[in-house]
Amino acid sequence: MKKMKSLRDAFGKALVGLGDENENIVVLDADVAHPTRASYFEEKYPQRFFQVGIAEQNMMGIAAGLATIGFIPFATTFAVFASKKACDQVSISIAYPELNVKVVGAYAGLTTANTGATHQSIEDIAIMRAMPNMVVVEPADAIELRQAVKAISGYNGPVYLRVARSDVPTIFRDDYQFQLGKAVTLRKGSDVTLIGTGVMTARCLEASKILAQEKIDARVINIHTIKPIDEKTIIKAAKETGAIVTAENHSIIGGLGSAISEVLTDNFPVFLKRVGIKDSFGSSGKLDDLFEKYNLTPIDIANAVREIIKKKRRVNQANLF
Amino acid sequence: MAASHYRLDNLIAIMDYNKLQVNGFISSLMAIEPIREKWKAFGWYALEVDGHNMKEIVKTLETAIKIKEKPTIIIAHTVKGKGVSFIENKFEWHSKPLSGKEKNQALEELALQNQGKKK
Repeated sequence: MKKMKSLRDAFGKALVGLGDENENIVVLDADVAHPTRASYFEEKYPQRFFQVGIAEQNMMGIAAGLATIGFIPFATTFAVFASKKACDQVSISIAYPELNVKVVGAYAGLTTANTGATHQSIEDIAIMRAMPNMVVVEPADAIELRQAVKAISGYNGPVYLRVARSDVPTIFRDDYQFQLGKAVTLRKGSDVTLIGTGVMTARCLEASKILAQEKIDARVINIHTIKPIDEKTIIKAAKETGAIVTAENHSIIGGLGSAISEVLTDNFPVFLKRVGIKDSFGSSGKLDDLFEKYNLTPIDIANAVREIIKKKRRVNQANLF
Repeated sequence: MAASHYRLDNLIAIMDYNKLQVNGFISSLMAIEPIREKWKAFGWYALEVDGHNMKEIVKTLETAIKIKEKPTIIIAHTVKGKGVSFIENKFEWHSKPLSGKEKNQALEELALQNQGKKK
């Protein structure tokens, strides 16, 4: 039913697909093309692939330069390096002049191959979200990723694309139509809303099944475009379900959960519980073990719902809303 | 490194080398010499010029354009605040605004300098 597919393989293939259709697509890499699968593009279009060595800051500068003369550069590296090591260059050379560069952060969150804290990006969404002019996208499965890559190549402006390394269950059908900026409701529900991004969306769907057995009817929404975020869908969910749990493969500070809190606080406050990495660095280990250690499993999402539903009912009884 | 690795001979970098930083002389705070040798070590063709002599600058650029297979660095030796006697080579003037009197004196000195050049 839910076939597991490698997000990074999907990324590599999507890049090649873009390269097939558009000769202005160029790809840059800072010595991690094999793990990010940018190597697929390198194999097919070596003339359009630029290796800069372990020099991510320079890569962003070169990508910016290429964009000024009409190329559509995909500057690929690990999310930690894109957001931290090259932060100034992404901000000042790409976001500030609004250049058409797609910065790709692979190995998102905890999804690395045992490479631990230095390679696990827990704050890249927070950093990129705070940059003016930067669109931030994190796809939930291989189908969405392929379409997202196409969509961002057609969007004129800076984009940060966050790609997990791991295999994820396929949750979208082949006829899915990705729309940049639009949240996707995957499951209708009225007791609570689960909002996920990236690898956490499938986990939200799993959590909704656990909750259904307890007669808790959870709406599940996938947010692929964290910035600009689909406020309408979030506000509607808040009004219609009264409680929200967010789930991200990222710190609970500054990422998806924070973005959604901002929307709620401005428009329709409801209780929100953020499932994510609780303000700590990552660590080395097997992916399943890590997700358990950092409380990012469907059970953790279900637990968060039970916590928040108690609050919601108490407030209802007190007639505060 | 990338510029020389990719043999970018259509790239010329110009270093405005006034030897100062905000807090004082570079040589005493955080020395960068031997700067010419450092650029050469990274594969750049190095040229030096008096950064205030336009004739020499043009000649140097013409030489730089002819260099093939390597990017070129032109180290232009300059004096910060050149032409204004009380500002020349004084690191404190990096961000000091001029008073009305100082401004007038500065403009006078620069005007005289330009007149001298026109002759």
